[in-house]
Amino acid sequence: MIQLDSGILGSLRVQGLSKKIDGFTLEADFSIQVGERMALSGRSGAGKTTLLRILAGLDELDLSRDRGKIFLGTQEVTGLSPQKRDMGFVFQDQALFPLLNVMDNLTFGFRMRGASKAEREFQAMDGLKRVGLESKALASVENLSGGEKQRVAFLRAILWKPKLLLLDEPFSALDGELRDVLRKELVELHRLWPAPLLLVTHDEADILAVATSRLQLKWNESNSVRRIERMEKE
Amino acid sequence: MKIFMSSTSWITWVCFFWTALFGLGCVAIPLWAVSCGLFQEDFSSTIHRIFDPGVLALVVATFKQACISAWVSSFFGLFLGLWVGEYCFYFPRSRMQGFLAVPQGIPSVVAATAWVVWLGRSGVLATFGIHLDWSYTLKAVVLAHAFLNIPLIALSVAQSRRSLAISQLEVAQTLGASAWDQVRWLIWPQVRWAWAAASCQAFAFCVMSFGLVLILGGGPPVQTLETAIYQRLRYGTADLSGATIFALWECVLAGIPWGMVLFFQAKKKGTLRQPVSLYSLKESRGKVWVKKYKAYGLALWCSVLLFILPYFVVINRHSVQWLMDGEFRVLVGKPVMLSCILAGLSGWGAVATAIAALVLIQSKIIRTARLKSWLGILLSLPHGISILVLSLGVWLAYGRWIDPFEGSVAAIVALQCTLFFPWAFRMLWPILQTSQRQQVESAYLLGASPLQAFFWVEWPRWRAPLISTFAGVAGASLGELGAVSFFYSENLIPLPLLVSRGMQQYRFEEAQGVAGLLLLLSFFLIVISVETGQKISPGLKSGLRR
Repeated sequence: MIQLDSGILGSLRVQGLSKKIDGFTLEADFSIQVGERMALSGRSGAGKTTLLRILAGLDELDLSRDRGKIFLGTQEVTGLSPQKRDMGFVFQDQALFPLLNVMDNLTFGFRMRGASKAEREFQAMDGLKRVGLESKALASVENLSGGEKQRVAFLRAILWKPKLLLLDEPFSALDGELRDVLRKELVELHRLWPAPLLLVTHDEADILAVATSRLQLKWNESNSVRRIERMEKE
Repeated sequence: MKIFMSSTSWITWVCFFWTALFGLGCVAIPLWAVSCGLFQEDFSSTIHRIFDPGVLALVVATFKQACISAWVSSFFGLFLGLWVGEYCFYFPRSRMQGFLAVPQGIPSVVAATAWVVWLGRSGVLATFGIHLDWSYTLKAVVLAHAFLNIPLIALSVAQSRRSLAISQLEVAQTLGASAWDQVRWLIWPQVRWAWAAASCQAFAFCVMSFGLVLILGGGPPVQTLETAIYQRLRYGTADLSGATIFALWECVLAGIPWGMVLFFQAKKKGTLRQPVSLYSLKESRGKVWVKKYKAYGLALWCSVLLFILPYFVVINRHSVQWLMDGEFRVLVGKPVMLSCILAGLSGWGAVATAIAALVLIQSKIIRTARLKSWLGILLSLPHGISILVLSLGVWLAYGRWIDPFEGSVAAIVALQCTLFFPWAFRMLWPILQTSQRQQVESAYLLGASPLQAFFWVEWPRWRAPLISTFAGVAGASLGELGAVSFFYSENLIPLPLLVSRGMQQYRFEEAQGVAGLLLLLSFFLIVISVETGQKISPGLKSGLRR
């Protein structure tokens, strides 16, 4: 986080994506620029999380019936495994590793990339200081409050400088006041590392506070096709 | 249940006295009698006898046998458990874990008979040109123990692996973790304590293994402390003093791993997490993914069945012929009846005692959480004591009233209840923990009496666990050999003893016929237990075998 080297970043481009899921087809064609924070909203069960999972490579495209391409900058990542996509993902339930402490959770991404102990700990401590959690570095994640867990989840996803940030309803389990604080912190963290960001949310307040642009998942009951369309942000 | 026990009613006091009577009469007094038996002579001569080279040689032999068996089991059990755990993680409705619990209910005498049939000089393997001739050797004992313990360890590891939330693995992938990294950083920390606890449990089972060593060890070729205790009492003149020395060593060898099990289980508590809902996972990944796992599942099912099917070798042409014989009915009719009565009484006894203990723990008589926790540990103590040591204790303590050579149904039932009570307690404990207070209160508000509220709200929750626990205990006690070996008489011979005698007197066809019958009866009960148990907690089925 100390050195900003966002030159390696490129925009996300989803080209002609079409995925069949349990009786409907999810279609998407959009792009997110570097520094842009895109919100994706739509009805429950419409396929928002599925889209995030496809982008991260957690759900594979079945090439016999699905189509579409995903680009990060100039590189096509459609067929790559999640490990090779370099995307930070924040799950709705945070998915912190309960058997690792805060520091080990934060340095996990660096460790997987072979960073030295000194470097990864330096980066983690720097991140913790930014969100006021430096005293919790060696604490068990089980002993953190809801807000602290969410901060650690944000940091874990962003600290190692991923090429894309995917957030699946990260504020849904928090109360109102804490949500406001964390929305601001998320925007601050994203300014330091302005990778394209896609935020899935139901909450209009999240969109107003965090997003710079917006996608809407349109649900057409009759033709069983759900399309993701760009909307003007109010 | 808690809400019904909110006041210290007469039911609570009945439970208190029942549990106390059970603890004192079946565990504390017999153990006290064994320890008193040790020091009948002066202190120095007792110490001299404890460290007698002959005794120590037997201790070493038992330790060696248990070490090798447990090591082999834990090695293969870990890999099978990880494999099954991963499969059941993605296919949570699979019955594979349930089938891993089945070998726990296979009677040890049946297992021993089956391995003699496989490995004997003219056994099944020999007919295929594989002349191992392992029967009555340490190798056979290790192999048999491994086949019983690998599923036990695998089950424990698989449950632990399954409890890892999928989102953690997925987030690790997005952070760049390879399959090996996921194992190293997430899966191994999750399963290691469960694996260690199960391995220690397997070690203790191998130390306390009686029927299997007695038959498959062939007497002198492979002797352990268990068979030595038995021989001191049932062959020739009863040598109670000599048996207590072996009992002491037995308690030491089995007690240490049980202490470690408690330690590892305390560590394991911190690793258990509820898995996220996996129902839609299979669908979300598409048909390609499911196809990939179909082949994987088939291979796994074969591996799991490998630990069940070998025992069915006792049901063969010779044994069926013998079973069809008219002589069979004369020989087996009474033992079948007796075994069923013993199994039924032991089943109800263990379940009733477990319920009494649970009610006691939840009542106001036991006030502090620490006391409840200690009582829980104390009540699981019998699981770490060999049934032969307890039998010896019962003999020493109540010999004035119970003559082992006359046979005693009461002693057998009491011992089997003691043996299987901790398992019943562990099976029913989680049901008590998940209280339905609000539902019961709603029933009250709708005009239900406490009895009606219990019947409509609580009973549907308790029905399946009670059936599962009863069937499990009855199935296990049907094949239990230790207690019946001590308190049988010529008028009181249950099925396991008939198998054991047949094998020792080289009446193989007869032994195989009875073993086949015993296998079918036990298998039927264990399958009922596992199937009904699936509805409650798919985890708590380990540790039933003895």
